[in-house]
Amino acid sequence: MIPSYSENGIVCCPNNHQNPQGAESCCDCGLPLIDYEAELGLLLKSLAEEERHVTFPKEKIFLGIGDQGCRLIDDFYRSWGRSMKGTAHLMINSAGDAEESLDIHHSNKNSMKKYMSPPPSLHVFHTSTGKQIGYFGLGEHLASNDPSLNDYLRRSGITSATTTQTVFLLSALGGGTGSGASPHVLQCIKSINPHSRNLVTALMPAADEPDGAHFNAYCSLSRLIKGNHDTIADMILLVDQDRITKTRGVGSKGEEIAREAILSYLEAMLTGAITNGSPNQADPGYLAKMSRSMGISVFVPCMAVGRSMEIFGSIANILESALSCPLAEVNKESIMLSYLLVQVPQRLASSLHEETLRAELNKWNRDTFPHLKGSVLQLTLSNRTADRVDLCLLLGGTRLAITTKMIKKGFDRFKAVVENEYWEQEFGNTSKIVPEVEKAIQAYDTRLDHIAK
Amino acid sequence: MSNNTDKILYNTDEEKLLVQIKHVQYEDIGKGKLMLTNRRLIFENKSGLFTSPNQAFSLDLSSISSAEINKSANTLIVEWADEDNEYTVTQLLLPKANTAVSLCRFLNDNLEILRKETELQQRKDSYQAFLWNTASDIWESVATLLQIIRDLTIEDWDAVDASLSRVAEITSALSANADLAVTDQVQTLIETGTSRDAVSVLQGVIDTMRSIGTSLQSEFPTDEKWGDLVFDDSQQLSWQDLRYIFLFVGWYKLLPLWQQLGETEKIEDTRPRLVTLSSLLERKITIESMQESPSPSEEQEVTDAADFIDAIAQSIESSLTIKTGLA
Repeated sequence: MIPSYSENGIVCCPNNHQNPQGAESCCDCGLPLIDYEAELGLLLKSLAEEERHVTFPKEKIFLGIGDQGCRLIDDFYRSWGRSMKGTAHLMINSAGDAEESLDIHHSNKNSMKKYMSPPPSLHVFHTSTGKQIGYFGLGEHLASNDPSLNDYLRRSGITSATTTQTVFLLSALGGGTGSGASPHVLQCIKSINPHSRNLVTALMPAADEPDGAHFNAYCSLSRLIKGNHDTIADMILLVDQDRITKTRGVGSKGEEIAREAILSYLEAMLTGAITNGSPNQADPGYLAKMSRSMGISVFVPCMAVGRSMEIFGSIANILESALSCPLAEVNKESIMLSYLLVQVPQRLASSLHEETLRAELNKWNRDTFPHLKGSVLQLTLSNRTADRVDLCLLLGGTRLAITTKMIKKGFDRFKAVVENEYWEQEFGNTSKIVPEVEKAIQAYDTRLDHIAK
Repeated sequence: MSNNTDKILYNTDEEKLLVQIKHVQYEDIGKGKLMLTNRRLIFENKSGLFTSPNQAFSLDLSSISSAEINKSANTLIVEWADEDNEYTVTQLLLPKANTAVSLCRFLNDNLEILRKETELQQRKDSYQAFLWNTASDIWESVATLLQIIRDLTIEDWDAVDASLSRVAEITSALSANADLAVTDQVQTLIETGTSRDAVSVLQGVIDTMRSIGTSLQSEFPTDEKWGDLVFDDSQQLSWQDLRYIFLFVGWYKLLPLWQQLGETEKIEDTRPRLVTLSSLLERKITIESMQESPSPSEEQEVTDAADFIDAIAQSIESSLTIKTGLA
């Protein structure tokens, strides 16, 4: 039997010459003495120290689904996301629609050297025909039959290891991929990380889009507010395409912010991305948590970007300005939750401090929303040099019968088409979906009525 | 031996004449001189008084499968295999019966010694092949495991997946051939990989490294066919050297990761360790590699520790490639 390497104070050299423990080299052959057990321990310890280099907690996940969703993520990434730490930007599209997303994806890769955050990654649902996915049922079918979707989400940083992960989903619900895949993807995320919170920015189709688009959006919305067991979305920010195209704001350099850029700005305000490191109270996870707790999922954003204090005179006037152009239909009488995100230039911080703002908001809320049950103010300081204030009001409590009135009409008109027996074969939905959708929407509105009492 | 025996020499390292017998009749070729050396059995005859001797046959002892006496005819019957491995029988009529018996016994004794030497050499060669294959598997397993850590630092899960498959393949061979109990650990590691949880995967890598490391520390090859060869401390590769190879590749493959992360202090701390391990391994690996490789010795030219370590690492890798027949 070979003597053990280190036993009873004796250390053997590679030639099995015995040496006293502590000697550096063999007294017979001069070879170095190595304590294998100790060296093995050191090597393993060094490997364990690498844990800090493989840990990338992704607190904020920005996810775009469908063609327009991917474009919104790309826009957000270019404007704000690339300088945000602890984030991931994901794009999911179907093969038929993915060409443009791929261009976006690659163009980011080419210029990634300046980025702090990795560029958006793209996941493609492959279709057997390569056709565009025009309808909700096809998108839902495609997403739920994609074997690599869960793996993509895990690879992108969705993990139950963190309890403070918030997912920001941007999706246009008029298309097949955005409407069909979004609820399923959110459900997958919830199953991977049950602690995660999510905020869905749902872009509703324009009034002049075909009824099929309205049908898609209405179906998708019903899924988002009611999953198999629970509400899938914690918070849905409802945005009408027609309204967003008319909304205007002023950026930090005096440039106009319009159309989809407003949505990027909205996400940036929600996440505190605009503050550039200044103190901020932006906590979207808290808003999502509160919405879920209150049972109010759907909110209408009202944006006032770059309003001059000199011109408007008070925060209440800017609030009125925001309320005058909500991004979806809203009924002031029905509002039960009001979240206010305010960005004040650093130089105005002394005159517009939190207590002043809160007092002004409380008074305005009381005067404006008679049935208000809860209000949250999140103040951040921006690095704007001018006196311009950014304000985002998120109003919850209006019944879907009002906020989605326009798409409901399209849905109703399209119902007859779905009842056709060939529809299921071609577009993945049976006529059963119609009562399901109507029931879910009705249940949500009934719940709101109950809360309002 | 008998009076007809002209000379008996004793075995030395080179080919030496052991026995020489005259007046031996080789089938119908005629009479001549039969010589036995430590390597061959040779028959020479002359066609005339002034002609030079003709070597009628020369058999390598290793080709002889049996040698026996036909007592009635004083005949030595030798069975041997030709170049095509076909057995041939040669009959040699010796002058006297006792000469034939003595020669036959002497020939068989030498054949037996030769067989034992050949068998021992084959076992040694086989054991060396086993050690080199195991060393190669250890090198590649550890290198791939550390590559996984590098891939984790850049979140390249495609590369992680590819490396995990490779690790499974190599460690399966390692378990089957060298009886190192790492299969369960690797299975757990692969399952962890699907979770896409980098910290768990890193822990799986560490656990697998620990399994290989402790197996090398506490276990020796259990296959009975190696016998005492396991404890052979010759200048060839030994089981103990596998431990040094394991440590060397472990530390060495960490260097590029630390370079990538800018951990210069760790690199500096590790180099003396690698130099020590290199000095142990170069006795067995670099020298052998240099003997077999026609390329000039890099080791003689390098003075810097980093270059020396790199040279040793390259030598180990090329030795592993040559010895395992992968070149």
